[in-house]
Amino acid sequence: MRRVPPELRRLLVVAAVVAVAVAVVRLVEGHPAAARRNSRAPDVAVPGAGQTPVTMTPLGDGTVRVEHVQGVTIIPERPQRVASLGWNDELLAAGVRPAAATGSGGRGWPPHLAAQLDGVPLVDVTAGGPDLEALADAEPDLIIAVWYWQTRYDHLSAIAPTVVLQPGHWFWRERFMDVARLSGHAEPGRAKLAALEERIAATRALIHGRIGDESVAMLRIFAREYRLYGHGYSGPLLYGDLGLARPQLVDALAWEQDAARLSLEGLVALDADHILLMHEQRIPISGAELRRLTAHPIWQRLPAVRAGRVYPVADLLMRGGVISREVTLDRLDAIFGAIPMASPDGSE
Amino acid sequence: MASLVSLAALAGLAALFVGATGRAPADVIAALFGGADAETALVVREVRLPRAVAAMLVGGALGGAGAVMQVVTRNPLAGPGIMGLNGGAALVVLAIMMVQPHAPLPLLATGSLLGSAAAAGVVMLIARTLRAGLTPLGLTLCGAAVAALFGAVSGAIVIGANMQNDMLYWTVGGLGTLDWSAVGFLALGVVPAAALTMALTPALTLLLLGDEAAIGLGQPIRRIRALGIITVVIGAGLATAVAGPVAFVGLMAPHGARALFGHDQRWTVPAAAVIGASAVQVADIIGRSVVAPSEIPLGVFLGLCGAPLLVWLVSRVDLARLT
Repeated sequence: MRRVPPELRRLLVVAAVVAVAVAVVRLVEGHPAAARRNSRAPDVAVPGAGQTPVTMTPLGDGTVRVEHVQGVTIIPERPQRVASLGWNDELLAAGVRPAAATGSGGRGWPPHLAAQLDGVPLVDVTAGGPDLEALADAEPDLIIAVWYWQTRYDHLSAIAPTVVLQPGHWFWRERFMDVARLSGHAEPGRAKLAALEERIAATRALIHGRIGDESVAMLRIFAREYRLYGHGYSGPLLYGDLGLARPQLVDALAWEQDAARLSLEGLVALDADHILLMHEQRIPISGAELRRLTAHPIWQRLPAVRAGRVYPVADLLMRGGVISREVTLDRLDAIFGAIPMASPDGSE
Repeated sequence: MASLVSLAALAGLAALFVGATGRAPADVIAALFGGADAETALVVREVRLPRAVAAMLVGGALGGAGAVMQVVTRNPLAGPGIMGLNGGAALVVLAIMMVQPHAPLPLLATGSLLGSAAAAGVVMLIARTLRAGLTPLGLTLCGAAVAALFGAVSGAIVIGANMQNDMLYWTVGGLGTLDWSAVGFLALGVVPAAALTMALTPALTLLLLGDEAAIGLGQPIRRIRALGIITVVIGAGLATAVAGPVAFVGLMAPHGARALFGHDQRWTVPAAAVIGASAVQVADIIGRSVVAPSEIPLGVFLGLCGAPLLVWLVSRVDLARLT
């Protein structure tokens, strides 16, 4: 066993490296760029992003000049074959059956839209981009794409006039109306939105009547961690439109971003009165993680768990769009409608 | 060695006092001895303690396995991954998830271990058929080939069965959700593997003299290599099965151990295990405290610290030479 003389110096070097590493992590976590990525405010006020709608100027010859996220595009006034790269829900909600559409996560149609999309040509995206041949075969006269595919804008524009819109958690109304107007269905779109606003008001009244100011958390089972949602996924619906009270842990950790990552111990502080427990049904291993969590003593000590106020909702809250909001509202009505009207205290 | 062990013990102890929720040190101590309020007791005994033990076992298994691997393949770049272990583990886990989507977690962990073992077995079988026999270079090359092959098959399954997200669940490394059952599963294999490894260390030291010298000294070199690889498979395979791929420990810890103890494997292998255990423990503590109560993944911190430390070590001592 060889003794090393300058042990202290080695220790100092190791400590210095660790300190630098901590500083790097801190820097990345707190950097404005990271914060902006997680921010709910749109980067810039461009048409088709954030709260700014696309601008549409009829040119009088049956075409419309559209200013959108990616620039200016001339589209038909009444497009007949609209291809959807990420706007399936919005198009269907506006009464438009897409001429071709991308699936969700490479797994075909999302379950709640499957019936309505049956027979629509599927544009595969598993090869790292939309299958341009399949898209061209559908002979669209308008392509509406999510910001995610803006890198393919030139290719898409070669197939048909392409409009790029940036989804935003808080701006689903603006984006839905953009899609409805672009596809020539502004009126059905407005009617749909008005009906949905009424549904939201009704659900809001129902939930507040049942749970008052009790707080609701959106918790998701994830790989080796748990995620507590702030304004990610259905956060804007729950905490914005429905006005549900946020648990203190959400305000402390998650509200400034999409979601906070929690470990098992981090869960201990979850002070929610009600928990909407999310996991991805189409990933069976997340179901195994769910069973492991719900069997753990830490989980069973949570106030919401002991009160029987945990509602497994699978991936219900992870979808965006108008139809998915209707489905979500139906489910929330069922969940909270089952809670007796009695005062929150001593209801068990 | 005593100071290394006390360092690891200290880190393990410190882990009990650090966590997402603030707990007074006095309460933590009370919780260990059956006092404290119910919540603190639960946090310390059901979350922090199993997590600290798991960090120690995972780090120790990876560090020790890396040291054995570097000697057996006489390759200073060797880590557990070089035998295609991670590739084999991933392939079997994927295959199980494909045919049996609702497989319980212990079955997947067992599959991961068997996958590691299968990869090592295939590598050894191929290496034996080489004209030069089971040589370090032959093992390294076959390992690289098998890893590439398994990776390609896994890629085909992931794309063909649309399992990108399933795979994500398995390949994200970390200790954040481990409970006692995972620790038990880990200890069941790691402890006997450690005992076997320690019994092998004198022979491993002789192996470093070169095959001919070792044969001249009456060493059954093939059997030693095979046994060494078996301990690596059990140790590293289990660590990966429980914590996911944890980067860098298996490569870095043995170099640190050699800087301190030279080439006597009776000291270097356990030292690598202890260094690995300390490194994972410290990385886990820091990972869960710098952005508490959120966490940063274990691998991020190990890479950030490990890479400069490895360069520093190698620049000071001629560690690139194993003999």
